[in-house]
Amino acid sequence: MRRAGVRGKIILNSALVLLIVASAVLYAGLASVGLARSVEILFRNNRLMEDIRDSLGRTEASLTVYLSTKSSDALKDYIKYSTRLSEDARRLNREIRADEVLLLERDLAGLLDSFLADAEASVASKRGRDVAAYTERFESAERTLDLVMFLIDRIEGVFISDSLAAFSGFNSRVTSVLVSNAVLVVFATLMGMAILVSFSFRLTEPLAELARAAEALGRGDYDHDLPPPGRPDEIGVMAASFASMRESVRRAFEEQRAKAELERSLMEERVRLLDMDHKLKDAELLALQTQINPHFLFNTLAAGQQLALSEGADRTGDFMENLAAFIRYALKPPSRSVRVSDELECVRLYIWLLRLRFGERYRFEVEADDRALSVETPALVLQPLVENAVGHGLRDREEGGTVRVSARVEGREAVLSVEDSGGGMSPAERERILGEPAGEGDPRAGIGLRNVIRRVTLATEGRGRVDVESSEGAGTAVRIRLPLEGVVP
Amino acid sequence: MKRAAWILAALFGAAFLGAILMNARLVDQSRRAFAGGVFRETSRIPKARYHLVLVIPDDDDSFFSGLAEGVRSGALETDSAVQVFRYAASSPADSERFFEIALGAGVDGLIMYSPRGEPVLRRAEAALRRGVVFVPVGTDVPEGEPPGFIGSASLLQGFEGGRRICAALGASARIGVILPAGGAGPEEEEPLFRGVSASIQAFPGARVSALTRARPGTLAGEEAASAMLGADPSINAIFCANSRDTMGVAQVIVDLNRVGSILVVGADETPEILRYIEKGVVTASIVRDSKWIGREAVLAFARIKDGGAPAGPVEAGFYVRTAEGRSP
Repeated sequence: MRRAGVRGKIILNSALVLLIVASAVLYAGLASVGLARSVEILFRNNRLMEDIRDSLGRTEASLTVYLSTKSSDALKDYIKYSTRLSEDARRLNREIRADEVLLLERDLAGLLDSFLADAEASVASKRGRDVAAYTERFESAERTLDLVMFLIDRIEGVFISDSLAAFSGFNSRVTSVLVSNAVLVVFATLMGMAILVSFSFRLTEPLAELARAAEALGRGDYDHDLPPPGRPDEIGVMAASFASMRESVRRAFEEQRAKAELERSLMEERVRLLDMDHKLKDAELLALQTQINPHFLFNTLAAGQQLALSEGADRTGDFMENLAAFIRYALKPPSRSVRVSDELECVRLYIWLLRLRFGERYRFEVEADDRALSVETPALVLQPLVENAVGHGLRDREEGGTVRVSARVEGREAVLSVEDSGGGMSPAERERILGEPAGEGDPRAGIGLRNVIRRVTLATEGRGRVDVESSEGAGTAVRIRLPLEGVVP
Repeated sequence: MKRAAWILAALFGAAFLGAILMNARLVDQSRRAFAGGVFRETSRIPKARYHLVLVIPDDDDSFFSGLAEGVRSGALETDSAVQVFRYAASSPADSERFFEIALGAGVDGLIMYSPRGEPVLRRAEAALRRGVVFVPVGTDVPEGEPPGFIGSASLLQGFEGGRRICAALGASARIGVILPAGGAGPEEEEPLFRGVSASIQAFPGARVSALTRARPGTLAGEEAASAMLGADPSINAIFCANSRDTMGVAQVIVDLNRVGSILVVGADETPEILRYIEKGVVTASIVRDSKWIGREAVLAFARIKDGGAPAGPVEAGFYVRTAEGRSP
């Protein structure tokens, strides 16, 4: 069954309170009316006596007028009033019962009969012109009239005496009735007030709880108590909706917080990458500042090659050509991505140039897995490693050494490796090279490797990495691990 | 909260129900009182065979209360409803009005206190004409000795009183006699006094020193005794004819500290008189048996109503109450 809502409850409660108070007041009123009616009966008998007295007086008056004037109007009045008196007399008790008033009424009835009989006889005698007879009967009627009046006074006195006695008891009872009714009304009022207060509390307390919960929600407290669920009215609906809304707000806030956290970490990563990019740019700028203008050098080398070819110096021409190709490759933006095959070609040019310089002192091996050749990689990541291997790994080896460059696919990664058979590095040295440049020693030490690491990280958005494996006396192996999904250009 | 609401509701319900029941009871009581006092629920009052009227003076003399009691007692035996009319003792003429009312109303019987001097014979004849049984009652047989009279015979009462005083005081008896109020004719002609006078004849030297008639009223006995003793300090005995005067005299004797020096012979018996007898203030009380008179009057009425003829005057007699008890 559908329960009443708040409006219905308010109406029902108000109606209940009104009903309680109204019933008490109504009952008190009805009781008072009942008592008032009880009082009314006190005077009922007196009214009968007054009726008789009135009829008697009018009968006697009309009789007197008739006997004096023999007026037909007076006779009509006499008949009218004597008839009424006779009717009044019939209302009196005529039975013999052992009660003072009943016997008095019986006396009165008998006297009225006597009066009416005398009056009737006097009228008849008047009509018969029997003066002595109507005079005698009229005088008898007059004497009876005195007795009747005396008896009526006496009866009324008894009535009043009895009524006063009855009223005395009645009065004390009336006081009790009024007091009890007043107490009842007061009690009903208190009861009504108690119900109103109780109902108001029950109605407003959940609203107050909701308000407190809303206030707490404003402060960020999502765990403040809510009105117990299950109320079948509007407040229950409000409470359920508020709980749902609070949960939604909680979830949205947590998602917002997680998103902000993610954005913050991404921003930090971006800042870090930007920082790396700035540092790379700085390094490139530094390189440009410290080198001869590469375009001038490239043009010059191209002119040298033409000169060597024209003079028949083929080896010099090849040198100029390979150097120019290498410089052309190196002058392109280092942030671009190229295929591994291009990188290996660049390494081969560089090795040719190194052999020209060092002859057969160092042995270079380049090998590549065909699957790895087409993998995208940041440009110029292998040449610095080869340069490091020769310049640092094998520099102090009198007997020379081997530099092995390889490209292969391992699982979902392409691995570009540069290994040397040099003296290797101590852990401290390795940490120094991989860490931030320190003030001590060669400020350019490790720049090539760190650049490679930063560019690989930047190009692969952190998914690629550079491993450095080295120990003293066991050479150094630098492996660039690139995801096969590709490199960001 | 819900439990408190239920408790409140239960309390209110109980209070409301209690108030309703109390109101109903009180209103019902009021209505019953009105019904008894005003409505005269005739169904609750049994019918009677005869309507009987008793006309007596409105006097606190125990003779009349005993008379009314006797009439009521007789009414029960004869299935009669008794209506008592009391007229002012100071206005005995009012008795005539009640007589006429009784006759005019056509009652069955009329028992009427008829002291000497009242027109008892005329009333008897008038009642006879109206078919109303008339039974006069009183202390002494009225003039003309109307038929059916029932009385206490104050002549014998006076004789017994005088005899008792003289038996106690002998020739030294100086007696004050207080006659009841309302009598007619010379005081010396009162049967009561004549009875006293007759009794002291046997005790030469004893005499009636004072004779007075009490005025109507409650304090008449005291007044008469004080005046009598003040006028004649030699009085050593007082004889009075009714209970009211007896109590008045006894109080005077006590007030004057003359208990034991003045012998009091009173009349009738009431709790107060019995107490005075017990304390020795009153030596003896000649008790008129008015209850018997009243009852006998009703029985006489019933006999006449049933076709019997009125009997001659009947005297009820008396008994004497002393500290030793009742005799005879």
